[in-house]
Amino acid sequence: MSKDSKTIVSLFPVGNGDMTLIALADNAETKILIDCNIREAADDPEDETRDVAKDLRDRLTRDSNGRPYVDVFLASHGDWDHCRGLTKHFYLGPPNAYPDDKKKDSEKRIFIREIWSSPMVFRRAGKLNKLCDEALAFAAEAKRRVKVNRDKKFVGVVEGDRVLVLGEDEDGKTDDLGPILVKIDEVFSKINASQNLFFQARLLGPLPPSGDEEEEELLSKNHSSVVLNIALRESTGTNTWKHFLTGGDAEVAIWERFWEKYKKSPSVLAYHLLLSPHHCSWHSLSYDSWSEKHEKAQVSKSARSALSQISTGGKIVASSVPIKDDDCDPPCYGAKQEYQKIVQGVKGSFYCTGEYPTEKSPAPLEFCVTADGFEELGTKAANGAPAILTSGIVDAIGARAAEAAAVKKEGNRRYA
Amino acid sequence: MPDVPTLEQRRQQAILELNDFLCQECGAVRLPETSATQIQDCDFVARWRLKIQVLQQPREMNVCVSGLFPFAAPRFQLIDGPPFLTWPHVEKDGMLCLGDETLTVDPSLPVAMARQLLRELAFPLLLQSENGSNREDFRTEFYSYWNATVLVGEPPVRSLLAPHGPSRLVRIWHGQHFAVVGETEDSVLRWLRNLYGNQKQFDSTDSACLLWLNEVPLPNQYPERSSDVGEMARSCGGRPFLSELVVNGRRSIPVIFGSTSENGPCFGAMMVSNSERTNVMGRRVDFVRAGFRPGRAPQRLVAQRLFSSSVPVTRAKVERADAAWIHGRDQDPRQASLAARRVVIIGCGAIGAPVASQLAMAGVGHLLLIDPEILAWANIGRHPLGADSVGSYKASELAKKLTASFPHGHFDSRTEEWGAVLAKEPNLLADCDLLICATGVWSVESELNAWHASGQRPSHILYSWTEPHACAGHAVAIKSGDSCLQCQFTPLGDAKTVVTDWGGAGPSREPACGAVYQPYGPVELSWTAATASALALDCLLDKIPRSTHRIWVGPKVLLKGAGGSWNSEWRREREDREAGGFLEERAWTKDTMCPICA
Repeated sequence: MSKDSKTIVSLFPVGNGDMTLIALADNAETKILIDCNIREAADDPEDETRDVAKDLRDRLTRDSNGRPYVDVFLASHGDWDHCRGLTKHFYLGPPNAYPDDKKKDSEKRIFIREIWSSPMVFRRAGKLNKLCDEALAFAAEAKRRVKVNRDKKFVGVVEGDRVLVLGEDEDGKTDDLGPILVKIDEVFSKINASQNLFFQARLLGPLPPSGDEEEEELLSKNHSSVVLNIALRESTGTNTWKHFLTGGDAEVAIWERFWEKYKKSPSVLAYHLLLSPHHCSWHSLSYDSWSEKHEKAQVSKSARSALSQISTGGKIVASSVPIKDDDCDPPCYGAKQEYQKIVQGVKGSFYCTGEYPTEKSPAPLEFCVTADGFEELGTKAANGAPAILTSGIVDAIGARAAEAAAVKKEGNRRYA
Repeated sequence: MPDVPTLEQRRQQAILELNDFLCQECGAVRLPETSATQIQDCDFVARWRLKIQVLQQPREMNVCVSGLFPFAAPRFQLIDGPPFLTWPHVEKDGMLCLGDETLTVDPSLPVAMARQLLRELAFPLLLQSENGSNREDFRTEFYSYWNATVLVGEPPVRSLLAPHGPSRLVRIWHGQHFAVVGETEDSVLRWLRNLYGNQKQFDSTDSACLLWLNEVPLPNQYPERSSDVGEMARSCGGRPFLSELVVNGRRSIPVIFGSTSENGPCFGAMMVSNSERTNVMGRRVDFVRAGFRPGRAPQRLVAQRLFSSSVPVTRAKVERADAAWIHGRDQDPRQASLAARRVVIIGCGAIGAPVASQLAMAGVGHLLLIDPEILAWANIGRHPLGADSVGSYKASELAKKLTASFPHGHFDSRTEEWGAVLAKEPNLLADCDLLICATGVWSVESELNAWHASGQRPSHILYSWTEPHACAGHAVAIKSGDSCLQCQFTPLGDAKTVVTDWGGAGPSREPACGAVYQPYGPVELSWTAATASALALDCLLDKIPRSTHRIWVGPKVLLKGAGGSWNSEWRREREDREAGGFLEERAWTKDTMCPICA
């Protein structure tokens, strides 16, 4: 990777769900995947749903064994729409038992070098409902890796066995995991056992065990999730970090608590790019029901404050289906309006993955980290032409030729 | 006449349209015409520069059109890609190889062409290169990359090796301009003598080693030093063979490696140089034998030192010249069988000679040609031999020509009547897999038929002849124990099935006693020869379980032009025969009253 490489955040059009890839500009081209939601329709070549698995695989480099890999996979929490397709597209198990080396590239499952997992998130979710199969598989893999770490006393743990535990579990269950434990408010930059110069993250949530049954129930009902404020930079030559705030499905009570905690140091919550919580759900901003109260529904000032620490030119993204002016939630039209107000104040932009670049043909929404923040890839030059051709632009350019085939790749089967 | 644009007008219009598309939709900038330079022997008449970002890395790429545009696709040139051999399908000068040899384009749609190429070929290639998912292409298209690392002027190695493992010792002959490697000394020297004649330098070979690898190497695994060769040998259990090559006085050690890719077997060659060095005293010393008196260094130790050191390795191309490659590029499942088959051809005239050539090209491994006649000037207009063979025996000259053309094959000749050959060497005829009689002479055919019917081998005899002016041709395969040739012939040698009718006209004559001929040309005759060759292959491949007759019927226009008509009896058998121009197959049925086989 040359010094010109870019740090890029890709948000895939996965409907109401999350799948975000952070590709760092370091020499190792480190890739961090937060959540996945690869629906069956997206895997069906006959279906028009965007093939996001291909989009993801295209962006992943292959290791020396020819395996596609991510350096990190983080499940923000255990809901279906954050881990759907995990067992089909990713390999879960001991690294030396990876079974796909002889398969075609397109059939090789993605190798996860390091897992980031929060036992507290899964514990809270499990109290309310039975975890889905994919979440159970993820949790089992995280447990396997923690055991390997414990057995090896955290020394000599290889890629494929590595794990970071985000946040302490209840009853001191994670007290012995020092080298692989990230505590709340800790800023860390270790990825796959190495310090990374392009990445820092502050762990904001899940909120630690409170000891209060009522409070725990509230946090559970508010979709306790891993919340990270991730700082990225375009090169090691600058000390300017751009912040990406991502919080899974965390809802209003959680954001209220963040505001209470950080209102005297709001820079902790400051961001240039926000993935709006819970697919632009009204319930991240309010206790009221949007479908019942509409414009009369009260916005929580604290939650809104927590989600308003936007920098100039900042972006907010709803990872959801297209947002309509109706009773649907999520995505909620009222929440979209709130976020639009937030970006308007800083001359920023609001995006919905289901509408980008068009509702009819959504494609990955990608931002490049620059000195000014997060710049949408493929922005236009002064003459209206793209300044740089990206895959997305080429997709659109090529699609215009689809009806008039001018090239036959396999030739015309005439020989002499 | 409609106002049809000239080629140049079409080209300029297409370039204008492409320019608009590239500049307005792709943000490209047209490069000055003075910089539209020659790249890889190709003159580009216009180029544009694009900025692209496939994944994380912004790059620059040129779109180039040659003077063949829009009849040929534009090409894409990566300007600041990684070093050559980092990505597959990217040439030394950055040109993307998009399968240009098989691409076909619609010249009336220059912009759609560029859109499609960008989206479906250029960008996906760059994407797969950046993410590494096409790395296996280095293996499946090994020759393109290995051969690109060979120094210009390095003599190639021509291989007669069987393209499979295991690793083994083989033999190599070194010439100034090429080397030849084969399984045995005999096979290498025979090949050389067949191709170049008996020359004194074709007297011996050296030992070499074939390493058969489990996997085709990637470019970063191509050996550069002797230690790399040692490592390669270790990976496939070939170290003991390397040790055997390290003998005193040897100037270089030839190592061939091979492996099976998805597209079939492939080879590369390396020469490990002399291990002598000049020491500080200016004397030449052999460092791998240092510490031992001349000739006393243990071979195993010398090999261990040599293949653990950094003696330079010279790479060479391997040109496969073995039968499996020449006859079907490893893809023809018939080759193993055909290479082992023995065919005798009696009559090397206008049918027998092209049949012999076709069977040799098809991979039949052993041909014996029998013909007592000498090639005359009048023959060469429809014979594979030419003026340089006039005055020589047809059979021996043809065998010589085939031997030089296919030096891996076995071609022999007898310049006698077939009966004389039978009398002197009866096994030559009896032991062959197929005997072909292409004389059209009843005395030969009837005698052969009687011999075959008496229970002698081979299992099939194939007879072939044409009718007048080659307007129809016949190939009959007689299966041993089934009907015989006589069954469908009159006792005087007239075929019972005749396609054409010529009234009372007889053959043409030369101004000499008994010199009759048919004035047909090589083109119409080629159909009959091909019919006979195809039936011969079917016999050799055990596809003819009973006696079979194939008739090639020329088109009516040929027949009319020569002044003939269809034989009315034959014509009446089926309605659709009038136009001619087809191949027909029928059983060669047994005649219960046949004087030979009944």
